Parts: sequence; C-alpha cells; structure tokens
Amino acid sequence: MFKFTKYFHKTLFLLIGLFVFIFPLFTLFKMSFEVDGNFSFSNFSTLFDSPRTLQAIENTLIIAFGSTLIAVSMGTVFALLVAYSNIRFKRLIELLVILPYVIPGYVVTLSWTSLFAGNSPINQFLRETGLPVVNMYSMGGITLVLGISNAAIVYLNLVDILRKIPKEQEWASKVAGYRMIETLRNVTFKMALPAVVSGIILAFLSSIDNFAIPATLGSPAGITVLSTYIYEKAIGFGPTSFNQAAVLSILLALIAFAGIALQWWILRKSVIFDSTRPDFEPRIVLLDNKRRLIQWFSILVLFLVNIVPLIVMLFSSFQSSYSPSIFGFGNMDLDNYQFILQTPSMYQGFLTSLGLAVAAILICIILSVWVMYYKLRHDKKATLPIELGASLTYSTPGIVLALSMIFYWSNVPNVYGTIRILLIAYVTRYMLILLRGSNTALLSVTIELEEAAMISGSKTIEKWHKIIIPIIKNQIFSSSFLIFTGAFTELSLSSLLIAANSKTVGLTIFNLQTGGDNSIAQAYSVILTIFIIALVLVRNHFEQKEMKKNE
Amino acid sequence: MSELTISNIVKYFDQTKALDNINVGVKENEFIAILGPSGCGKTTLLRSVAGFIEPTSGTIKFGEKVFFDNREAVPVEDRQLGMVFQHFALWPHMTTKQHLEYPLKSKQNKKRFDVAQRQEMVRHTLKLVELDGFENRYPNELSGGQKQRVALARAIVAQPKILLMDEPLSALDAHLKQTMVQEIKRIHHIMKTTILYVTHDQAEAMSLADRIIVMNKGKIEQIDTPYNLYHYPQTPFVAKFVSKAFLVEGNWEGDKFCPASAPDTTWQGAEVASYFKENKLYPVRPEELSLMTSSSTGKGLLGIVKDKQFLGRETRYMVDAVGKELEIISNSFHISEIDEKVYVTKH
Repeated sequence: MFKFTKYFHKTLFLLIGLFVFIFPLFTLFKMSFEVDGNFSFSNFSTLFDSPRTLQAIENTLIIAFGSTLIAVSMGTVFALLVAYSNIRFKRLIELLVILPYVIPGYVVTLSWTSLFAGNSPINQFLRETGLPVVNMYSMGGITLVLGISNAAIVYLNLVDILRKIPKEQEWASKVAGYRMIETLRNVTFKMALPAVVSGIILAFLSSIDNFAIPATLGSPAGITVLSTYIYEKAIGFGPTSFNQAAVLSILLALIAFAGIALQWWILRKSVIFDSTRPDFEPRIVLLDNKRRLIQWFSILVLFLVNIVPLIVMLFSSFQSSYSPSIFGFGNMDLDNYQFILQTPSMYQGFLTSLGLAVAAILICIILSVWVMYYKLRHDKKATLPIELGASLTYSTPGIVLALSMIFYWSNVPNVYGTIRILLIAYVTRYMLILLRGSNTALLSVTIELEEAAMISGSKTIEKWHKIIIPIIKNQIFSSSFLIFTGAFTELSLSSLLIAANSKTVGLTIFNLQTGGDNSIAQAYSVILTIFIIALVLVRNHFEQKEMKKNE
Repeated sequence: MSELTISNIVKYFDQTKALDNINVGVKENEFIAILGPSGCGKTTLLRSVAGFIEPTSGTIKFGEKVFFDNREAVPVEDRQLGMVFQHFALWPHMTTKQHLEYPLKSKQNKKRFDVAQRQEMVRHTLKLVELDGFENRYPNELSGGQKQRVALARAIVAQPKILLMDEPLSALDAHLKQTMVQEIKRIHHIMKTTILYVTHDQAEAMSLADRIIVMNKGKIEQIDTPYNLYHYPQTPFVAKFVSKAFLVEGNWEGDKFCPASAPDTTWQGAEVASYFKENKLYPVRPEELSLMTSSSTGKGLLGIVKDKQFLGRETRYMVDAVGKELEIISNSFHISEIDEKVYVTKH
C-alpha cells in the first residue's frame, strides 16, 4: 500500500470520526456552560435548585431499577427454561418474550392503556367490586411496561450463552455430588455471569434511554423522568431552556456511561469460553406433569402480559366513537383504518420512516464494510476514531443525541429543519451495530479466500461480487434487520429533529396519542404491529432456511 | 467385595438400539477399558453407569447399592463416582485447589470427612498428580497436560469407589498421551479403585486395562485380557479391530487349516475360536506372516507386492494374495520389490 493512500485513509477516518460522531456530543458541553454566549455555571445551579430536576432524577432511577428487576427476573427465567428444560413450544415462548421488544414502546403503552382504560372490562369489574382501578399513568405503570419490554434484552443476552456452556461442566458438578439446582448456582450461573451482567446493564441503559414509554404514560400524570424532561426543555421557549436541556443531557449521558463503565469493570477479568456449538439437548428433564404445568403456565403468563393488551388494543381500534364496552360489536367499524389509509398526513409517516430506515441502513452498510475491510486488511488503528465515535453515539441516550444533533448541525445550512438531519442522526445512532456486524462477517473472509480468488484471476470487482459479498451477506442482513426495526419505529430522535412535512411513524402515533385521538392511534399501532410481526416472521423463516442449509 | 454388575441393559434412542442386552461383571479395583469404534455404544454404556442416561431396561448394581433397576434410578449426585471427561470440563472460574475442594464440599462428603481430613485429601491428591505448586492457577493458566491432571485429581480426590473416564486422553497430543497413560496406571496402582475407561484407541486400552470390553453396534463382542483378545479373538470384529488380522478362507481339518488357494500349506490352529472354524476362516495377524521370493517347499500363498513402506524399525509390505490385500510386517527391507512375485507363509 502506498504511503499516500495510507495517510489519506487515516485522515479521512479521523475526520469522519470527529466531525460526524464525536464533535456533536461535545457541543452539548459547550451549550451547558453557556449563558448569553458567555461561560457560566449558572445553568447547572438553576437546574439543581429546582425540585423538579431532583424529582426527575429520582424518578429515572426508581423506574430504571424497578424495570431492570422485572426484566432480569423475566428474562433469566425464560432463558433458563428455553435453553435447558424439556418444555415444548420453545419457539412460541421465545417469540412471545421478544414481541414487546420489537414492537415500539409507544405501541406497547397504548395496548396497556387500552387494557386498563376506563371502559375496559377489567377496570369495570374492579370498580363494581369496589376495588381501586388500575391506573397505567403512574410510576408503577411505566416501570411495568419498561420491564416487560426489556426482558427480551436479558433473555437474548443469556439464552445462547447458556446453550454454549458445555454440559460436561455441569455433569462434572453432578458427579461431584451436587444436585442440579446447586449445579446451576455453582457452575452454570458463574459461567453465565458475564452475560447476566451485560443483560442487567443493557436493560438498565435501555430504561433510562427510553423516551416513548415515560412520555406517553408519565406526561399525563405529571411524572417526569430525565429523558422527558430534556424533551420538555428542548421544545420549551425560555431563553436558556436549550442550555438547560444540555445540562440535563450531560447528566443522563453520565448515568449511561457510568453503567457502561461498571459493566466493563465487572467483566474485565471474566473468561470468555468458546464452546463452538450450542447444545440444544434439554439438561433439566422435568417429568411429564411438571413439564406440562410449567410450559402452559409460561405460555399463559406471556399471553396475558404480551398478547392480551394487543388484542384489547385491536378491539378498541374498531371504535370510532366512545362506547361503554370495548367488546360491543355494534359499535365497531373500520372508520379509523379508513381515515389512516386515506389521509396523506397519516400514511405519509409510514412511507417517510420506511425511506429513512432503508437509506440509513444502506449508508451504514457501505461505510461499515469499507471501514472494517480497511481495518482487517490494511491498518488496525486507522479506523479507531470511527469505532470509538460510533460506540459513543450508540451508548448515548437517543434524546441526548437528538439534542446534540440540533446544536451541531444547525451550524450547517440546509440540514437542520430538513429530513437530512434525521438521516444523519439515524446513521450516527445505529452505525455501531453494522460496524460490529461487518467485523464478524469480514472475519470469516480469510485472506486465503481472497488470495485464491486473485490467483484464479479475479479482478477486485469480481472478487467482491463473487467471493466476499456472498460470504458476508447473511451477517450483514441480520445486523441490518436489527437496525431496521429500531430505526423504522424510532421516536426519541424524530421527536426533536422532525421537520415540518416529514413526520415519522413514531411521531405520527405519538402525536395522535398525546393529542387525545386514542382510537386512531390504536388503529395505526395495529397496522404497525402487524407489519413488524410479519417482518419478524419473514426473518425467522429465512434464518431457519439458512440454518438448514448449513447443517 | 463391591462388584459392579451390569445386567441385561438395553437402551433405545427413538428407534435405534444403542445398547443391546449388555452384561458385565467388574471386579473390585479392576481396570476395565471399553473399546470400540465411534457409535458402538461405549459412551452410552459409560453414561448409563454414571447416571446421565437412563437405560430402557436392565439393572446396574454396585455391591449392594442399586444404581438402576428398571426405570428406578439413583440420581448421579448420589452415586459417589468420579469422572474424567473428554475435554476436561474444568470450570473457568475456579482454581486448581477449588476444583479439588468442590467434590469434598458436597453434602454427603462433608459428613464423611472433617475439615482436617479434607485438607489432607486435597494436599495428598495434588501431590499424587504432581500438581503441587499449581494450586492457585485458573484453567486458562494451565497447559493441556496440567488441565488433564486437574480433571483427574478432581475425579479421584473424594476417593470414589468407581472412576469413570470418557476418552480422557483424546484431547492430548501423542507424546503427552504416552506420559499420561503411565500416570493413570501409576495412580490406579496407588488408588486401588474400579475404573471404567472408554476409548477408541486400542493401544491405549491394551496398555492400561486389566480386561477390555470390545463393543460393536451396541453389543459386546468379547470381554478378555489384552493378551487373550489379541491372540485369541472370538469374533471377526475383534480379530480385525484389535489384532488387525486378515481372515483367510480355506478348510479346517480338526486343528489344521488349509488356505483355499494353497492346498499344500497347512497352518496349526488349536486355539482359533470355533466361530472361525465353523465359517472356514483363519485369522492371521500381519507379524505372523513372512515373505519369500521363491518357495523351496512349494508351500505358501502366491502374491504380488503392491507397495512397500519403510517404517524404520520394520518394513510394511502390502501384498495382493488370495484375492485380498495382505499387510505383512517384516524386519527386512530387502526381501522384494514392488510388482515382484512373492510367497506368503505363516510362521
């Protein structure tokens, strides 16, 4: 490689890393210390003097710890059952656990508020029997919905690791005289500890990062958490409200980075074992009666928690006017759906999000494959600024990133106020997932494979077309899928960065919800949910086909 | 006497019969190797004794203790066994010492031994496997041979009456294997415990075991001492798998055998098993044969040398004779060349 191209790449990567990923975050610091263009601490003191700020911090932490507790217990129990026991319907259980994670938060909240609406059968029953009604617009409601949504994070982190722990390691403990439950505690749990810790931290981060759930459930009840407080300040009109939002953002980002630092510190000594193949044989064999009991109880719980709210939402969406009972068939019609499909300001959101997500993914793919290929083949260090920057923007809570985007890109003409800023924000937010994906994918293209192609006379284009792309495409596809569901239904970035005529799906539903058009919001959520479930099923189908091909 | 008695064990995996009516009696302190090709059921048999697999029917008893009797199974943790696994199965989060203390701290062993005893047992075992000085190392800080020693030490530290070993040396290279074979023999000599040792390597089985169980397709082919297995195979499978013998066709007259293609030749065969006599076969091992360029007596099988490999101490000749490719091990490199005619005789 010529010296010139080497320096060219190095400089280019450094510039991208700094100007696209790192500098926007730094503008937050600048903003937070700025009062009327001068350096000052007064933004900090004003905010911390306000009891609302302290209340928001307290709420954030209570909700984060509470929901993490729910997520960890649910995620661990189901991961253990699916990975180790001999219960049946594991694919169904897995799908049910993951469902509230792939469905966006504002839809999950909407389904739960439908379930416990004033005219819902449950609350009617509670009212008639004189018991207090369930109010989802509360701390408890926010914690519950967040916990259930984040259970999937813990589950997905754990389930594969559990399968990969060699069963001989557990057998060795049983031979040594320990029962299965003791073995799980002494051996399995210890070996899975890194995955458990990652799961806990990720669930925690996800809950402080979440904007949709506290915004939809908290705002009506006057409950503020840091993410919604930042939003409130950012759209506020006070002379220093932007600066105060910056201060809050730094606070939230600090909590997030503290979590990541804690994870790194706990895991710094953990040994990563690489058993090559996951083992799908059941290790805890329950007798038939017990097995059936646990299996149907699990399905029942998951059905109640993750499906029933959606069904109630479905029924509610058929009502265009208030009705005393949501199951009254006489009041049902398709007016809401008709409205969505015929009003441009409604269906436009769907198309905008689709276009944005696809465009962001394409940019991420091209950039990350290029960067990672250069890293693996030419220079391990040159790409560091981009990788570092992408991890920073990925770990930064969405609302904080959105705010920094405003501050930073408003200095560049024709970005802020157009749809371009959203595209840039999506790329910065999700880049890391594809960087990691490309890295894994490209690692499987060993240099020998390329050399073989070149010896066979392939030109560079042919080599990529015939050798590299076919090998990496599955991994790239599955990373892209992860980004797609996130970016398509995204709310926290678009809530702040949206331009006048380019609403996303998330914002359309959010606005309907906060504007009180609940039944239209429900109908829209039903359409979105069906779309996402269809996507997940299509992906699972392809994944299975791929797995069969590899066997 | 605590004997291990395995009777009428049958195990089905779905429709396939993995174990077909297995009967074995193992004497106290005996070293038994279970030998067979992959898929022969040897691991299934070992895991049935350990309790990781429940047989479909049959009984497994150890002394007075019933491990398994027609669907009634004693759980693994209550069988008081020691076991060494194929890939060591060490716990990455425990040091060598913690590995050894682990079995001693189980409920039943806590009752059996007091603290001082347990400490002494750990110390003694560490010394036995020559790991003193490595107490505080984690598995990733140990070499392959050391890991194997930790795995072995963990299995024997609580002085189990039965020690199960599942291809314990297959993860080691050839040189280490040889050292570990000696180690295991030495430890068995000191420990005096019953050992069941699964392997597909017949040299390993022969050098270690008092008796070998040869298995094939879920059935026991023969149980015997290494010497007898080698010299007096009872079935064609054992003859081929253990003795590396060829089966030559011909006719038996009492204890005398005439190869079909050389009626003038007779081989003595008083000790050949009845199976071969009934099927008009004679199992002959490579080192029992020798080559001659011309037959002075007119006896021997006529053949053509197809290949000749110089192996150092000996030379391997591959000879086409009686319609088969015979392997002949000889001390001489200069008997004949490729494509030459030779006579194969048995001495």
